[in-house]
Amino acid sequence: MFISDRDTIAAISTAVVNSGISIIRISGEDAFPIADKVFKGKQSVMDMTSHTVNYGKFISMDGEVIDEILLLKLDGPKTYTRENTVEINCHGGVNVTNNVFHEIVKAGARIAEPGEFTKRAFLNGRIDLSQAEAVMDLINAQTDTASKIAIAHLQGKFSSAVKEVTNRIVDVSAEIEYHIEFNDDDMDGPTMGRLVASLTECSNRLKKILDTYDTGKIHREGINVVIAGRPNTGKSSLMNEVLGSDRAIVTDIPGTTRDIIQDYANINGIFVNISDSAGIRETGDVIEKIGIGKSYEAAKNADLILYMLDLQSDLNSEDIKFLEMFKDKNILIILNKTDLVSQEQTKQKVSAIRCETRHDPVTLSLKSGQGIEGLYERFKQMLHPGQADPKNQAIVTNVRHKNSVQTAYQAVNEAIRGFKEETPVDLITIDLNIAVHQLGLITGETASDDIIDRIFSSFCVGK
Amino acid sequence: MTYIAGEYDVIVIGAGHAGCEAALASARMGCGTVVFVMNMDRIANLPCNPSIGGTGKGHLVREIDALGGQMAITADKALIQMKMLNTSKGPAVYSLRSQIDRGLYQKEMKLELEKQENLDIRQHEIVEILFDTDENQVKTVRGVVTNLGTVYYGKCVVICTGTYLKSRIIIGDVVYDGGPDGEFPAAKLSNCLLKAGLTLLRFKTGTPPRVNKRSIDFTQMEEQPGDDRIRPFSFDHDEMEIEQVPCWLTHTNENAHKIIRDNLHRSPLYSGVIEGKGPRYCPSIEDKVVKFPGRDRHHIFIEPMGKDTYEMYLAGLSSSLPEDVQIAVAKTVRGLEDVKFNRCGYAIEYDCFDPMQLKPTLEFKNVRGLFSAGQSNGSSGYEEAAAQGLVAGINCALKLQERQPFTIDRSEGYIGVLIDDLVTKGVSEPYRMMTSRAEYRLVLRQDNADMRLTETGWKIGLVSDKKYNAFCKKKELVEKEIARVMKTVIPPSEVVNEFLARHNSTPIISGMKLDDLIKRPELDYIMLKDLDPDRETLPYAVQEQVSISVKYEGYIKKQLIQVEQYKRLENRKIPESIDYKLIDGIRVEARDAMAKVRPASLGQASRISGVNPSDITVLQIYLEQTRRRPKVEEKQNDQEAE
Repeated sequence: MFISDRDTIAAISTAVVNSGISIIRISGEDAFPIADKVFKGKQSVMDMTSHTVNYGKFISMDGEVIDEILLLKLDGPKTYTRENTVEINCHGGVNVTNNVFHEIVKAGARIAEPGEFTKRAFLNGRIDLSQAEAVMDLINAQTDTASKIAIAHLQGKFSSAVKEVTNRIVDVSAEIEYHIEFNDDDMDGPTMGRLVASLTECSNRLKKILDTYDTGKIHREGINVVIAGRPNTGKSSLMNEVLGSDRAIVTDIPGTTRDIIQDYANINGIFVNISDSAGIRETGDVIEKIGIGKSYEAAKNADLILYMLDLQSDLNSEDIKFLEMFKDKNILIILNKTDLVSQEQTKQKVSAIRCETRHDPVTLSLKSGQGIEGLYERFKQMLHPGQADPKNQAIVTNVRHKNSVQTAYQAVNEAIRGFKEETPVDLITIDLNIAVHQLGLITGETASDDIIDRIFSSFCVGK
Repeated sequence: MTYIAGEYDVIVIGAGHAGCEAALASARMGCGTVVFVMNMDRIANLPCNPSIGGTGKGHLVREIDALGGQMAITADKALIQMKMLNTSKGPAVYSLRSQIDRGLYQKEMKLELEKQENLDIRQHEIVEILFDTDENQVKTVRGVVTNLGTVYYGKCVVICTGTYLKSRIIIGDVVYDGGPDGEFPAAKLSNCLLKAGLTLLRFKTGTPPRVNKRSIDFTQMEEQPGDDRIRPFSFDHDEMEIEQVPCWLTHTNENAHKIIRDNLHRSPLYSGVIEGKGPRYCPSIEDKVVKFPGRDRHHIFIEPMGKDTYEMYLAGLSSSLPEDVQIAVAKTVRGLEDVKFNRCGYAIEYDCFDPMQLKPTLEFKNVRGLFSAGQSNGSSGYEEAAAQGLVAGINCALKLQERQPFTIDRSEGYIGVLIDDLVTKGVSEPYRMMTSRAEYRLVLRQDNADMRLTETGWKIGLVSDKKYNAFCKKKELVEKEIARVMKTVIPPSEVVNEFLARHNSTPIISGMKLDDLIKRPELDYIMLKDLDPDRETLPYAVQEQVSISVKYEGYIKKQLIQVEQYKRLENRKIPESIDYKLIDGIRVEARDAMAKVRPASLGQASRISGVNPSDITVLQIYLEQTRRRPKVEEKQNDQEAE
């Protein structure tokens, strides 16, 4: 059940937010050949001189260009871990960084355990224990306690869901083993059928957990929120409200915001990358047109769209076109300017919107502040499905856990396939063991309460 | 006056399956060896059942043979039936199980010991083990004392006392001191072992009744014949032709169960007379009835004790119920209505060691030169005992010859799994080998035991040159044939596609590699002979190897990756001198557990119960620090010197 210290490991060593650049670090025996598989530059990674920076293209395993990168090659032992190391500077978008990272994993690197780079640095004699602890303190100081607790909470549910699946798989294995060890007769059809049914259930559950990865991503990487709507509905006011500052210029002139304004905010403990976009309308103004095009582009990449409407006007064709276009997205409709209409009108409007769009809007006045709390509440519900969902679904928040669940899921499916192809059962148990082992890597770690283990596990990967 | 009868390199106490292997291995490796047995006519006795092999156990027998041990060769000589189990369940769990002529087996094994150069057999009970204690209170074994007061000195002593230590027999409410099969117990040795500071456990096992063949109506039972093609245990034996004797299958029924339930108050298991821990995998019939009340019948296999006797075992009816109840239960069974008992089933309780006191070489950690093997280590089964005896015997010789100790790891053999489990995890019931205990069982198959171990056995000096050369030849044939198969391409033709259609296999339109065809679920190497004109006629064992290696290549590769990961932690050795008290950060529970087991490697440490990954990390860090420290000091010294 232990992770080898000789694998080549990789991690994103900068915080995963939309920033200028991100650094991904690869360390271990195979760091160079792995990097070489995904790098296309003037010379191969093998031929580069140590401690030089090299420009080139980052190529996916399928041969697709993903990014332009700078690659730093470092021969051991003059590196942090004292192993051969490659550092890749890629463009800092969350998606780009993740894509680059996943390709490196596909190329053969293992996702690093929390604190594993520092652990290797220590084991290879690069730093002493007190230094290691100091690094940890530094990292911990930046960590918000509340979010830690929230994550622990989610992990509890996650690990109990994983344990349940593990138990089921172990049950199946046990039954097979019983037949192998103590029953001279062949396993009969109904028994096999029952085992397959049980494994299918496991497979479904693992799939369900895997599907939550995108939700889990919210907790890990923050989400993209885009404010959209027709001109002069109060988008920029909302932006400023969320940011708590006058970041966007607010006027009553329609079309004031022409470019995307982007900033980061923390809403109820969730890291949000929020964008204010140009109001959507038919216009002859070339610059405004480009801005509107960008609004659509931004909405396409959004995890959540806040669509603003003015209570004083009805839905028009622009609104309907937009809502139709993004009907598969998470959309929250905000009816602004309650201060300018009567309560009765507001009520009528809400039911009309419900009827026409099938969305449940929130009403508020950004001017008076009325209803703002309600907005945040809805916001939280939409982003924290863990809390919104009464079943308290398990969520995967961690790439490494996701990988384990993924491997276990594949192994269980292999086992099911094995049964269907009448593969001998002793071979099927190999896949079942892989599944149990992978899931154990998740639950085993959360069970640990040891001090030194925590020294290393509370390290953010890659320092 | 003390009579000193002799001085030996190695003294083996007991000549059961462990003792025989230990004595033969040590003597064959050139050590002057004496083996003590309480009754010369009971050497290599099989009191529990007349069978060798079974799932996991069959693997052990083949490994013993691959290493140059004796059990497989003798078992083949005394074979009266052979069966390959689990043929539908996959190559990793194919297991040989044999019926053995008990009398013949004992005779053959006794003769083997008698013929063996360097080996003396003495009929004595050993009542005491002698130790030397040095100024640091470290004990070294010195010799043994017999029941006649005679002293034998020895440099190594192997305890192979089986179920004899302070044993008592229990049948109903009758309890008496006695060994298995009507033998005397070894009552005195336990006390001396306790005094030496060793920890003993109390275990229990049992045997079924034996009855006269004439009183059985076989027409009421299902015949259980052996395989058409006998695959022998020993790699020395290619094919065997013998006249096989069948076993017979019948079942208990509700009437039998009712009698048992009505008499449970007379069962020593349930009245508290039996204190020893019994094996869960081999329950008595009363246990089965109580624990599985929903089952309306249980198997009874009628097994012949040999060719020259009418005694038959009622396997499955193991019991410690009173004699009258045993007979009444048996008589309710189909085909046993008029059964005549020869011997009652009985339970036997005995002392054994907590095996966590042993190193993986089976030497005690606290007593130099003292080894233990077999049931005295809390295992059960002839095969488990023999495997340990072999390892203990080899290690005695290696120790005396000042050579590297011999151990097998979990990826190399079932013997490795067995011993690692015993010494690392300890036992809470008699330990039986099972294939599911082996993590890497697809590479630990019974067909490739020689590929895994014969080279090692030869290097140790136990495998003869003749056997080794035969092995090398086989290995070459296997490798050559696998290489040929990998290169062979089958072109599409009417004949080929007609063959494929006949076996419900998709026809081919272009040339296809033979190994890809073999890998198809519905095909295999042997049946594809018809499409493979270049194939030479190879010995069956070679074909079997090729067939499995090619067909399951994908799975084998998967497992080899796991083995490689396992080996890495296994190769991180922990110095024997380590003091766990000095390591901060290991939890108390884990520290105590590690201090008790004193694991030889990080891998072994990780398997100790109560030790978790974080403890291993801490230990790893500590080892790294201590490894580095001397270098730092050296550097300082260098600087000072400058």
